[in-house]
Amino acid sequence: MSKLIPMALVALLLPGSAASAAAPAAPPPKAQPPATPAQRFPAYAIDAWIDPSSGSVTGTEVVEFPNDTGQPLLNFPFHLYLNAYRPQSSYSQELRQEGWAPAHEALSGGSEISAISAEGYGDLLPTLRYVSPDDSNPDDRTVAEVTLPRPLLSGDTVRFHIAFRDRLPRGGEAEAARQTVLFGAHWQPALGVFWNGQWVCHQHLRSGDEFSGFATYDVDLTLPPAYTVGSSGMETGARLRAGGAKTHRFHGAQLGDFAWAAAPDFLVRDEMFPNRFGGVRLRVLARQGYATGQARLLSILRRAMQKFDEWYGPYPYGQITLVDPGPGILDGAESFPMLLAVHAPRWMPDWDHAEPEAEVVHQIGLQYWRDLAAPNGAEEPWLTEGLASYSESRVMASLFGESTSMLNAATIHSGDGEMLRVASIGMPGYGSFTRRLWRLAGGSESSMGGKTAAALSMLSSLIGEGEMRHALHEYFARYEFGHPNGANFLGTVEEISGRRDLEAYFAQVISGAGVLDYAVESLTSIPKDPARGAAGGYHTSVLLRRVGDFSFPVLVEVGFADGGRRWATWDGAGQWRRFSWDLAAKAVYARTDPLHAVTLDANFFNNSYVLEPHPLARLKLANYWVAAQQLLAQWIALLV
Amino acid sequence: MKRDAPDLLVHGFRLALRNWPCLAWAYAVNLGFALSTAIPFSAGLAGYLDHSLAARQIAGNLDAAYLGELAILMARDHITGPALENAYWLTLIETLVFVFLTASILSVYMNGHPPKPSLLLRGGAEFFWRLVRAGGLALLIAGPALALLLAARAWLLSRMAGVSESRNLWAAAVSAAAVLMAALALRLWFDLVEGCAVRNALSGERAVRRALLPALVLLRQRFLSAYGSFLAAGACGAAGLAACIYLWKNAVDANQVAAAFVIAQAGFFLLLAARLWQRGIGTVLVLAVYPLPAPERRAAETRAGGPSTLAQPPAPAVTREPTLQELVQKLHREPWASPETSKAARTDLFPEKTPAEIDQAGIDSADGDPAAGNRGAKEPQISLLAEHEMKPPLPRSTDAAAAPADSPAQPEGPEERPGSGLAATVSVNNAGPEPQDLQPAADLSPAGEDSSLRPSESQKG
Repeated sequence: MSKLIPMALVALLLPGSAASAAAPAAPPPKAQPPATPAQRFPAYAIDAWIDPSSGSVTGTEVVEFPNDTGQPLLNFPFHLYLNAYRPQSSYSQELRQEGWAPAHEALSGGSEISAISAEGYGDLLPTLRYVSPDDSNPDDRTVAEVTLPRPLLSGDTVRFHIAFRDRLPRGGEAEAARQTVLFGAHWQPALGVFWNGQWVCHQHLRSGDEFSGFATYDVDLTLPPAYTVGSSGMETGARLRAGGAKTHRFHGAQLGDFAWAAAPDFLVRDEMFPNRFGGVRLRVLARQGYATGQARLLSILRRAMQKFDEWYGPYPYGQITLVDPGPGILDGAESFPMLLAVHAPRWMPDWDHAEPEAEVVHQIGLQYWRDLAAPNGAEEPWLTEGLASYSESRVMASLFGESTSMLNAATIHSGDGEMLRVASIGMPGYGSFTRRLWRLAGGSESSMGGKTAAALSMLSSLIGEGEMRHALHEYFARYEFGHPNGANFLGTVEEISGRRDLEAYFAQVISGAGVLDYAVESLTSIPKDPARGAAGGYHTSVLLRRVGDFSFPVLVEVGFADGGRRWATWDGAGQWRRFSWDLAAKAVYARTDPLHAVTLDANFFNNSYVLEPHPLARLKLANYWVAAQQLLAQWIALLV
Repeated sequence: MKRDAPDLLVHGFRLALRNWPCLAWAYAVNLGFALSTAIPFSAGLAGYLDHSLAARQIAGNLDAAYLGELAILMARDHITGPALENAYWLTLIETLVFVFLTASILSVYMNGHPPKPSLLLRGGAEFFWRLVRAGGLALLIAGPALALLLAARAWLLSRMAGVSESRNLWAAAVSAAAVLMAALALRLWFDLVEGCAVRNALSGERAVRRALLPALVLLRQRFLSAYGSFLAAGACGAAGLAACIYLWKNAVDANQVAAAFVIAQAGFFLLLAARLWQRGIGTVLVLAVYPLPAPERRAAETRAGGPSTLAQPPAPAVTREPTLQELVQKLHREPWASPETSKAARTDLFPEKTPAEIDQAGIDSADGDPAAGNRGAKEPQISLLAEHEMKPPLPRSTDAAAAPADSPAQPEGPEERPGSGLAATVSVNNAGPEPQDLQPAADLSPAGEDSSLRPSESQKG
């Protein structure tokens, strides 16, 4: 008997697939274009002086906003995200609610506008007020709003002149590092996004991803001359200033933010990566003494960029910079437009791809799905973190193997996608990604990302890996710089896959909090005629049970002693279903999901039942337990 | 001095080897408790693994994702928690049993008794609380010291971090090694404290605190040899465990559970053996410098309430030359002539006395009250004794000359080594079957040199 499972059965797995197959093939309508994309981008001209010794930034900014919204505007909100690093901010309160106790230095940041005016409108500082649209915390101060004395008419342009002063948060663990490496992220007053007919300017919270508008940046950063700067945009020149300071000039177009990192001992290593737009300069900055991981970072950056370019579309910017600031500086990895920050630990063995490979790939995913597509990550984080996690799992599997992409040691291994799935099952029932403040509801970033990755992997297994890749490519092509939403994504996938019935699936996965869990409750295989024994054949019965409340069609496979196999499908309706066979051979095992397609299943261990128990795995783990217990006891005995 | 460390290693090893049942008991306790904690854990695993095809991902080359999922499921189903709680309490009990066993082992090592279960139980019961008290005292001293070291390390690393990863790694490794070395030195000191506490107890001294300082002095005086031996024995155990891990990793398939179990047990047995070796080293060192008094003297001291303690080392009592009075007493205990002729004569002139009676009555009578001692006995030497009582001790040659030519070579009381007069050399294992095997006793040479291990060297030589 062929070992291949009839692929026709796979088609049965999707809801409504029979109807889809029977219906005449109609050309699917094209997905809707993004809602009212801005035709002209705001422009920022920033001149900032950075004092490394105090970690302060003093700057002036000219913000030019063309009103292409189609309506007059009176109020203008600005992000002041560095104020999140104050003890009174909502961000700090969230940290404390989650049990974190941030160091004093980590909450020493801040940003204040000392002057603001608009050409033709006069001084606006008296109208400046802090607003908290998300949680009404009056002390948050991460969003400030000014009011013009008269509305800015549609089609007109306003130029704001702003003077600001920042205190950069010093979140690093090491005093020496805090005094050496400088990070400027969300550091200048930035306008909110006018989207779907209104301003969207969320507070800086842990419970949601950023949502930024695109703009053109011309930035002058003045630092001591020894400093090397890596940033969003591209450096267009540098000049020495009076007093010995050095000004670096950068330009970037259609950037969601302008971030920078500077240190006096950055070593630069770069190479060109060719793509359809002519090429991307891959630039890796690592500090002296940390250069050992630089080659590893550059290698994974190149390989991952190649996969993203091939699968999802060309990177539109001419340069991407990866900064390794050393240990103890970052809270995980970070991603900003054209700028990544990842540390490559020197001691990490080659067989462990969790750091830095998986992190670099994930941050590149964020470049594509968050910084370039730019959905509202604050309200639909699954479109940013979730898609980045899914693309991470696929790219990592492609580069390092499906089941070895995270760990590939002699005695232990795991795949990136498998680990993401495990992260998602850690908190079942918290799976709704459409609510704001999802993180406060008990979820976590890894849980959300993991569940999205598992859900898309499941969809990919069912509609085909190529179709899924094509759908993502099309989604990126359509909504690059377009602020898409979940409906745009769903529409694109439905259109590319040719299926019109994915909404129910997405409703359960994205909007619902249901748990998907199917179990083989029992398996019996007894002689049909006890008098004749085995010669009379066997009656085999399998009882399946839907443990969770997530309903989904499932395939069941039963293996027999003569090597034969039988399959059946269950649409998931009801709580249980029994299947029976009368065959000559005795059953050996029964299992659901033999294709390993239902990656959202919350328990893989109850998906199968083997008649003859095999205690090897249990004894192996018990042996580990005994060994650990003995070692622990001997260590304790050494203390007494 | 160069041979100190090898001698400690060898003698410690031989002591541990001779008392191998102690190791067997310790290993049995270690394995028994581990198995007892594993039973509920294994029972909890059965529901997930025994009938599941997913178990193959664990039975073979381990899939970390499946292991993580299993851990999540077991925690959610409240299986891991009770298993860990059970393990916690059993580990606590095991720790107490280990302390009891340590007391038993030290008692056997010190006394030289055969390591029979009854004697181990008796030794454990006798010294258990002493070790607990000693542990508390040592913890009060060592804990803050170790905490200071760890704080200094954390401060150093916080200053180093971010400067250079390679330098940071080196600083972390070197500082960790330094803290480990310091912790091991503290552990050695605590071993010596425990040894001294048991030794004191065997001498009738009850105050555990009086073991702290002598152990520290002992460690200071013999630091290099003692610490080197301690580290070498521990390194042997660690190397044995590492070899087993290497063997398990490279020679055992992922699904060969039985072979993995045997290899793991070999590793833990070696680790435990090395620990008892270290205990042997500590015991040898303690007894070499602070030998146990002879049994009869120990008993007398205990009765008199004036034990020989480590705070009052025995050196002043035994480093002086014997006085004439003592020599006469010695002569009283020995035959005057050949064994055949002396017996009848002694019966008439000197009634049989026990050594304790001799110690008490004989010397008392020499102090000028002959009637209180051997009243009516004709003993002309006694009259001369008073004249010589205050005279300086006789030179060594006089000792030999004063002894009768036909006196036996092995007098009663402490074993006497040629050339050392009555300066008793107490064997380490003086009550054991082979006391001469472990002779690192204190050197009690006339010049009073401090070379505690020299006697065993001379024996070897």
